[in-house]
Amino acid sequence: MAGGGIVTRRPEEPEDLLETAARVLREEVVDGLSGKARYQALMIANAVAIAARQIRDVPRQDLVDIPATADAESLVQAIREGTLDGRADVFEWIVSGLRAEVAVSNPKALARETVDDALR
Amino acid sequence: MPPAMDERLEQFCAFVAMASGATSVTQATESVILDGGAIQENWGVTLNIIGGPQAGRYDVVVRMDAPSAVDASHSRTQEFALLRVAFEAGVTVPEPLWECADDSVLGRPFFVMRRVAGIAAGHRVVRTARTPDEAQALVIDFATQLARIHTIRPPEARLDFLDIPEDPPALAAVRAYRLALDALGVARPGLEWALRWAEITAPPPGDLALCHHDFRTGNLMVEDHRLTGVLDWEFAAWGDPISDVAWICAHCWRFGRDDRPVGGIGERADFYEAYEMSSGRRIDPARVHYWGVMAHIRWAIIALQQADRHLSGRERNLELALTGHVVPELAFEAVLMTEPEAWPAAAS
Repeated sequence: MAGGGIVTRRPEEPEDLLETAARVLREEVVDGLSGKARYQALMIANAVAIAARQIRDVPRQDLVDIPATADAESLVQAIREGTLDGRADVFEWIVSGLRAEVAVSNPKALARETVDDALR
Repeated sequence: MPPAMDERLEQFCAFVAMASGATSVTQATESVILDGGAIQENWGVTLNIIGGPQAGRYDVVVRMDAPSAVDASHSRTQEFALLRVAFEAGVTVPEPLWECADDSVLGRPFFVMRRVAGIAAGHRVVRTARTPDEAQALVIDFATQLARIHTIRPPEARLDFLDIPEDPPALAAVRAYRLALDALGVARPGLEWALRWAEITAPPPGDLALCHHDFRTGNLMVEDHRLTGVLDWEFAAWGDPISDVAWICAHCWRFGRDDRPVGGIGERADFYEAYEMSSGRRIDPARVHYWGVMAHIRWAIIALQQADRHLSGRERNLELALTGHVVPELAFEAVLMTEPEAWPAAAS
């Protein structure tokens, strides 16, 4: 990124460009294709759409109130050692992080019912 | 087209003639590459076997390692042995015919099995229109076949390459998954959370049985709403049979049909009843839940490994790259299944 000077594009442009490209692929190009080419075009549309969502500026969560979580490695270590077993605050922190990740990788999965029906 | 089959058809036919005790073997159709997946390469061909005890016309599949084979799965020779044991136990599998353990014929080890009709593609099988009766019959087929696989018990001399676990299968899996995450060098707090839950809530070991370990619609050949073949034995191992039940019922294998718990096709009650009747083993829902958590963790780790094949530069491939993006939803699922209320109260 350039350190200064005149801003020559709007901040939303990269995301918009990729989103538009993904939509054209999915809504117009794919219809004319079949077999392997269709499958590949769908994969490309998916990849482009993910990249568009990745560009969005997602604020990083702070690991407040959990002393062991200064970084991901020590968090993992603390979980393995059992010092955070069943803790509601850790659970909430992990869930909100994953929710943000799923919103990028596959937003449709957020709408899904996620309670395990094995126990009903 | 990859060169292995077509360039070596003469050697291949000579091998089949020798292995089947034939006078000669000719090829009745061109060989075609079949959907195989990233790990194996499958070729379909029709052979005329002339003379000998196995004379006749054979539609076969030649299965060999793909050029980019990964090391986690069994060798073709081992997979052939698994197929043979399953076939003899009455499991609906493609009949294993001949194997070749060395590289001299096709450049890679391979085996030959009879080709079965149908498709094995989860997203397509799920979208096929079925009456409730047809869906029920298919789910009962799945359950009956799985129960039959689980009649295969250790020790079994022909499967001596499978380790008989000394530890409970659940704890052995927890350890293996942590090692896999460490090897990948990624910190995944969500998967770690679920793994820690799995460690302290591991069920007592039950009876060991041969587990397929990838029993889902993508590996089950279906034609006319019936199961025609259980494929892809590369992950089979001695384990907790309920892990296979949980695998086919896991959310991640329903292809959008969350309302149909068994592979996006049918109902748990039909599956459980048929499985319990065929196996004599009772299905404990809590144990299915446990192995359902493990199913999401396991698939997440496999997806991470596939993405790593791409990201490391070993095999640049868009499909592998995209596979990495299923990890968040799998971890999300595993974590939601292990909410704080699901942890033992005694844990500090």
